[in-house]
Amino acid sequence: MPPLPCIAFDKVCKKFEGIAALRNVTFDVLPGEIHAVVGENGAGKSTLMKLLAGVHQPDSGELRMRGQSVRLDSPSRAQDHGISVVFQELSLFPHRSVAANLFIHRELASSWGWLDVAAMRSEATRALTDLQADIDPDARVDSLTLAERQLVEIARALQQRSRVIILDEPNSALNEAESQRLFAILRTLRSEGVTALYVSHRLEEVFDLADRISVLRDGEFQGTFETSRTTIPAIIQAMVGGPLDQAFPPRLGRLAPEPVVLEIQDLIQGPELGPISFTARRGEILAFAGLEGSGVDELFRALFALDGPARGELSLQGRRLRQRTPGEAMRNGWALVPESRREQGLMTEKSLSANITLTILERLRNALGLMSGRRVDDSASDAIREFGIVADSVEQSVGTLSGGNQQKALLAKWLSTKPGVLLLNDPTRGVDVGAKREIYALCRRLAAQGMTILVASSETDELLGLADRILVLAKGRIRNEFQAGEATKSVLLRAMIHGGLMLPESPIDG
Amino acid sequence: MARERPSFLRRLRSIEEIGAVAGLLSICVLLWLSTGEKFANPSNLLQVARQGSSYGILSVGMTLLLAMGEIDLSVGAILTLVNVVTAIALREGTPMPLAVFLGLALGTSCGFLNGLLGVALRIPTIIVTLGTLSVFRGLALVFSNATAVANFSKESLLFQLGSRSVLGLPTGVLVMLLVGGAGHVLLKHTAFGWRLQAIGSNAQAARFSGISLPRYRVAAMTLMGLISGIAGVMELAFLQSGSPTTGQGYELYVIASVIIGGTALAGGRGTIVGALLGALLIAVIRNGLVLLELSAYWGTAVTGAVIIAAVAVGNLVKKQ
Ligand SMILES: Nc1ncnc2c1ncn2[C@@H]1O[C@H](COP(=O)(O)OP(=O)(O)OP(=O)(O)O)[C@@H](O)[C@H]1O
Ligand SMILES: [Mg+2]
Repeated sequence: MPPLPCIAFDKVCKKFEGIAALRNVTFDVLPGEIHAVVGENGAGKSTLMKLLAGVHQPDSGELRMRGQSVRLDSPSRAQDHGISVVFQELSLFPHRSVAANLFIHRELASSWGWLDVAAMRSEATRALTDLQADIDPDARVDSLTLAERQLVEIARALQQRSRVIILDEPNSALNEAESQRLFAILRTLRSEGVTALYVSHRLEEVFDLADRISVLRDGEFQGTFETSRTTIPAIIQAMVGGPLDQAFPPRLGRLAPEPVVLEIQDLIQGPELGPISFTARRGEILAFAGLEGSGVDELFRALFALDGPARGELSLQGRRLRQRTPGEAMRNGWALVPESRREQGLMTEKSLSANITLTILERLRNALGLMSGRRVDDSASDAIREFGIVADSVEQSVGTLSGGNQQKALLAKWLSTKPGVLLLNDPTRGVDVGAKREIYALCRRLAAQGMTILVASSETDELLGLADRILVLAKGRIRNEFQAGEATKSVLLRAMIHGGLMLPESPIDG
Repeated sequence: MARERPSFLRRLRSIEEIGAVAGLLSICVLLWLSTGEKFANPSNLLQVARQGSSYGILSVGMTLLLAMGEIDLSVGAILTLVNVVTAIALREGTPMPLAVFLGLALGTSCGFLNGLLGVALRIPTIIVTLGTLSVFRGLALVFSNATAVANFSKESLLFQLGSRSVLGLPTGVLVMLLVGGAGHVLLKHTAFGWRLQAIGSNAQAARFSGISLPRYRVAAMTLMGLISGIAGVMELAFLQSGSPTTGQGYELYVIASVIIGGTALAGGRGTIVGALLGALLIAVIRNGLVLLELSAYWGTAVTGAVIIAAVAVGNLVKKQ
């Protein structure tokens, strides 16, 4: 007799305002397996996970745990059933310390209710060390980078020692090394009998990690596959209902090299960054690689003048730029797609149209100087079509879109400014395979039209596949440079880790 | 994906001002039933509207501020200061238009100062205005020697209109509608208003979108100051004297009006129509207490309770 499934979904349905997000989903998760759930953006993966988390309740159908029907009508009920969750969108308290976040609602206290801060701090340190995350338990969460926050979120879930752990795109901001550590921990937990549900768009790692893979498409269950008996193309076929062509569109062979348009001379911001000098050509896709703390994030912030004016010289098409605020940067034709869409990018309570058009309000006024509702809606509808955003209407609030569609809305918001220099910080975080391809193709197309694109990414493959040239940063300086096709993944990773050692001084200019 | 037609009820609930409308209607019906003609006669109703207009004018600026996630506690004090200083200017023989201009300029400067202090010293607006509330009110007492300022000529147009009606409406109500109309257009139909709401919705994302937070904060506070100045001058025109005790406690009624109207305290959106209805609701409540011959002390307590009830009713209707 097969073991009783740890979790069974039985004809589960869920609608949001009349629109079905899940339809008759039925499948089993076996105890002690790592079970991946994959599907396109908006397929219903997060909704399914939120049913187990007690955030949403099914409209009909049944959830069973070890054969028993369960009603998970609140997150604390789900915890009582031994389920812990890493949500796709971070759910930390930004103003509280790391330790306070790890122990929220499970505080350690003496028998008369006095909080045991020391114990919580040392437990927190232990949990973070397990992930080899060098994070101070007393640091406030809003002082951490996105990747660090994701690690804290993971530590919080792991530390509850639950029997079931749900991870909804837990490593979308993590780099290769950090992800591998997470996987090692998940494998250890599996050997201890813990069951994991794992949602991801990175199919290579899903194949590396999961025992079985369940596929959702448009809210409907497509089947569960044994990882050892299937292939990535077969999974993609099930996800999208057809084959997909290759991930990275070919680079356009250029007849003559384009002129250098962007020149950065001795850029310095604070003690952490610089001096940095590089140049970029018209239509070039220039990638920046570096580990956490290498200065890539800081470089992008400095270029867009987010932390006030930086020292050094910026010139575009031979003209020296005054770029002291983000507003000035935008007027100079720059755009920055930020790393954290919920915090830095979008107004989650507001409509899709309000979000997409925020950067171009001036262009959408009528002859009287008033905002033209029609122009705003038209412009938003155009963007929705162009970027393939799945939404009920331009009025849907962005916070209720699926994660990948939020990312597409963020891209739409910035590309509608028609920038000359585009800074992309992790542009495909949480985006499904098909949409990723579209974004890569879009980048190529924009570059071909003359846009200069600077891109950073937590996915090394993305840098290798997309860039014409890769600059490697470490300790706030450029340490290495590769031309397209010159570097392999392992060479690049090694350069990122040892960058500082290979070329201790002299930054390389472009 | 099949889409169901939104039901009538759902569409009703999606109206932001539904709480204020429901509250206003039910209180009016209650008062009508319990006091009859005393409440529901034209002259009383116009009187109520006049009283509501003081809160109403101020609530227009407060809606803009709440929509961007800020709050100004000094509006009542600015109103008092402008009221007193304009009266003193008139007493000293300043021609009426110049005195009014002075009053409005003073209000605007007070607002600008509020904004500037917050931005330059990096203090939240609510704290800055908690301080300037006392400063402005104190100055009004000093300038007026804590007595009413009334010995000036009331011949000018300001006072002719101030106590009368224009087009069948008390002048205060007319001014409220004008200010409200302008505020509504500003909030819903200009890039400025959309950006205020963007800041209230997610300040960090707004900054990443190139919006200068300090500049918008100062601009909105300055506008609030101007609007407080207008309310102060209108109060003077109606009362025909400058009084250092007028405007006391207005800030709370004004904030309550805005919230009853359906604007989110957390920021991100606002409705000026709702705020004006909310102001009217508060005026009706205060009028009702007088008609029911409850003591003034009870009046204060009951007003507070009804404010909470009105907001709760609004939430209930929306969440059902
Ligand atoms: N609270 C909500 N209100 C309205 N619609 C919602 C809500 N939450 C989810 N949806 C809708 O349900 C559908 C499924 O969303 P879900 O977040 O489960 O997708 P997903 O598979 O996790 O996608 P992604 O890979 O982009 O994260 C989407 O069309 C989304 O717009
Ligand atoms: Mg999701």
